[in-house]
Amino acid sequence: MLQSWTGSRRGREPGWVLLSAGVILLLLTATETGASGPAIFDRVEEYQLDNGMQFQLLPRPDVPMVTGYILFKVGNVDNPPGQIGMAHMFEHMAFKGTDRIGTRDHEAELAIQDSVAVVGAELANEMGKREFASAERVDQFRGLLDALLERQAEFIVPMEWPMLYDGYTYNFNAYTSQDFTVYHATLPSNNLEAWMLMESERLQHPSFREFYTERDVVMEERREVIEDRPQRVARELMQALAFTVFPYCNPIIGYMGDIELLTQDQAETFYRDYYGPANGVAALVGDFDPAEARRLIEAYFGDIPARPCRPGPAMVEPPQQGQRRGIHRQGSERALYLAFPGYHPTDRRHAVARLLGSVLSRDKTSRLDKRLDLQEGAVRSIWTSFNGGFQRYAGVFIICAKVLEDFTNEQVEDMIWEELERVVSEPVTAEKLLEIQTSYRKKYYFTL
Amino acid sequence: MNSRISCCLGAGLFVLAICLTATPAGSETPRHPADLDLSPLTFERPEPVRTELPCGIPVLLFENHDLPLVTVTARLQMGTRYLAPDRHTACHLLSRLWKDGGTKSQTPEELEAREAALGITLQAWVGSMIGYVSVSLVSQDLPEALPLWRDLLRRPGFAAERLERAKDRMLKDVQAINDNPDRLADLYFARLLFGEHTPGAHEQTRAGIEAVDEQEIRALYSGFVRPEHAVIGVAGDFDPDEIVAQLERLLGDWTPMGDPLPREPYTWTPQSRPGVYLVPAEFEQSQIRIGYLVPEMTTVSPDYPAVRILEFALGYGRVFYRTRGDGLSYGTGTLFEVGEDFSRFYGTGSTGHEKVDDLIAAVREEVNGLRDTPLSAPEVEMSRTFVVGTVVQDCETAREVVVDCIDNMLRDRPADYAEAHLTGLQKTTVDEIGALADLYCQFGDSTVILVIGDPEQVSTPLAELNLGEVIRLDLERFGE
Repeated sequence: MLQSWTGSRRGREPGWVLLSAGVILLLLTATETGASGPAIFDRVEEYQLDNGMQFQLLPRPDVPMVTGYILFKVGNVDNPPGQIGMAHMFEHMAFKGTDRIGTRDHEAELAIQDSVAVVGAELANEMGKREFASAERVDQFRGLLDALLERQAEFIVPMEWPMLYDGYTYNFNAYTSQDFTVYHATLPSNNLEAWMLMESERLQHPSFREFYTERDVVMEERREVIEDRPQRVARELMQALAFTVFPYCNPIIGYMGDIELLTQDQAETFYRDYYGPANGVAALVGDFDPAEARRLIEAYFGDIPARPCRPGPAMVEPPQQGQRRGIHRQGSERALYLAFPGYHPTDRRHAVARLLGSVLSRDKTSRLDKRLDLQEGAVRSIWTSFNGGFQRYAGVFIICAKVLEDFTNEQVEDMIWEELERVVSEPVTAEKLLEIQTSYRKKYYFTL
Repeated sequence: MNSRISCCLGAGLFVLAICLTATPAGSETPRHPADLDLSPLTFERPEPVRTELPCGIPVLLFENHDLPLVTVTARLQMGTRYLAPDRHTACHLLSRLWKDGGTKSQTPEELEAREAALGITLQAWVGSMIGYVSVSLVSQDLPEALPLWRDLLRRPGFAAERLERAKDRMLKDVQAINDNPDRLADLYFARLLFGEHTPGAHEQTRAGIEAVDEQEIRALYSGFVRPEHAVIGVAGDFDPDEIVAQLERLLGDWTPMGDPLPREPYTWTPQSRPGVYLVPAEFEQSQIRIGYLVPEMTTVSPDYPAVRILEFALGYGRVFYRTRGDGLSYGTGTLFEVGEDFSRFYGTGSTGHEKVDDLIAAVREEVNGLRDTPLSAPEVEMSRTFVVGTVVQDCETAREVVVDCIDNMLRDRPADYAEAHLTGLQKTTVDEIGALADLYCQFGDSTVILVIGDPEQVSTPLAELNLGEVIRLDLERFGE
């Protein structure tokens, strides 16, 4: 059984405890330690194309390998209303090829694809009526769609784009987060131009073939990575409770009822709205000559026409007026999630709260771990995430505990509240804070 | 000619010339990678410097001063491979307790506080063949961190209260299997392929965990962790002469305790039970495993490099792309799991209950179809790029280079193993891979097929595949 809830206990204003703790930490951090960043950053070259696309280059010739990252400022938070999961769905479509790759006859294919778009939209429209849908019309549209897809398949070379890319890279993949979508690859350094070509081609000329087959894959993905994992379902519930209006309330992959209604033409619109070059930032790290890389960047990305992209979501999450609670029953292990309203990433309190998260749970010397795990033996594990996963807007601060069988959820919740209040009554010492800050700096090197 | 006309003609020719030469930049840019002229990759595998402490312990050093980071690792030949199955639980607990239990000079809390204060990462771990104690740190902290690392290596505390905690956590981890369909499938499949209580199929029971005591853990530690079994590696930002001198000071007087444990592998014979099995379970998807043993294949077999290329081309290039392209599964593939003593070939994936038969049929079709449609040269080259790439990526950091070299030594591989393996990957031909596919890739009489899923939806389609009688197994509750 899992529980998740947001807000404060016993009638206090939401976020009271954290705000107080944050103020104390803010005072302690007022004296800046003044450390500078790693010297490796001095070697990063940044520049921007006329169409707005930005690049960052860091040569590191240790081994003959290059890693390329392209990040687009579009994520779950940008899904159009009624299209939850579209950002993730489009990420899948980015591997379906182009007008040249993945097809035997693009013109013939396109003619059918246009019909697929129309019928697919009609089917989704009818299915979306749910209990009022006409079963006869649904069957009719489904039959039409299947017939069109079968005809289109004659012109498709299945999976040609990823198989081709496989021949030039060591690995490649992509992911969609709450706020961004990232396409990344690691490749032998002699194939850098192939990376430029493949990435620029799919940015300029994506194909929406096999949309409906890929939608089936996404539905299987949801079953595999979410629905059979109780902790992840609970996390979805927690976010749905923490946000009532702002799109962070939705799962990145979408709910099954959303995914099954996504359409090809919606995906095409989404691409036009968000995948303009100015919405992208690319990074190259590895064994390459910067001058040659710049030449290739200009050649492959420089001519992509600029176009405006949609701004971020307009919704504003209303202030939380009281505690919210939810219970999800699945599986045998119990877990507790507490979530509190977070800060915007540009708000200085965001960084302070991150340090607060380390005070509470970073290692076995942290307050929650020491009390709940080592001393009380009440939890199998406990962790905090202060705005982790929410990078463009204010997210939530999460405390998660896996409760052991000899303790009730209420007992563990009480212990957590006691420790939160203790951050105010027994503030973290300057020495401990410095230790945490120093550790952050040192461990950061290992991520490079 | 009229001079005005001449001028106009000249101007016209000039404009025409400009139009012909000033083609848009993009029109010269290739649009398909086949049109690119790419140079071949040259890669020379980096090698650490090998030396030896005056006390005889081998040391491998690899400098990289790009970042102020160092890793020091002591690695030993030890683990469950050298033990009878009834000692595996104790070995797993040794792995959990080694770091968690503090040292003889510091309680667990003191060690954790010191680690946090310095911002270093101490680790200890025991696997099937190799165990290690490592410290990763910013190089300025070497003088303070190394003694902690030495104490953890030579004088672990195994604090009693942490042993109880480790046992409790291990039991909870076993119980967590019940909620994880993927792990359940792996466990059942291992039992069917190897037998009930053999390496890879052995799971910890409540009674087995509770029976382990501190003496047993200490006996394993002193039997395995001895200077004559250790190789030290240092990677990153350090001075070689200084580090060797420091290591000699810290390890030079290391004398073994107790009796050594034998380092010959425990011998056992897999007891495979080919057939079609269904384990009823209430999950959203069915889990599928289909495979068989490949007893003659190991990591030192001459065919191993070619098998790696075959594995990727088939498992990812054909099976994954086919099942994905058909909308059957998010991630189904086949793989060769090649070990030091034996290997297996199997398909693994998950799908909606109603598609179980389609998924199994697709995997079988791709694997068994290799005889009629062998892997092509482009498929082999694609796979070769990936597999060679794993070798290149394994050399990306100094730590990886050192660890890879030491682990080859501890696995008793020939001195030129890494080089020979890379050469094998680069030189394997399409025909050789085709021959291996004929030899190793065929689902037949020795195949185990396992489905964990909803029996109401799965039983009939599974039976209709006509692969044999469907045998039902009970769904156990682990760790209870």
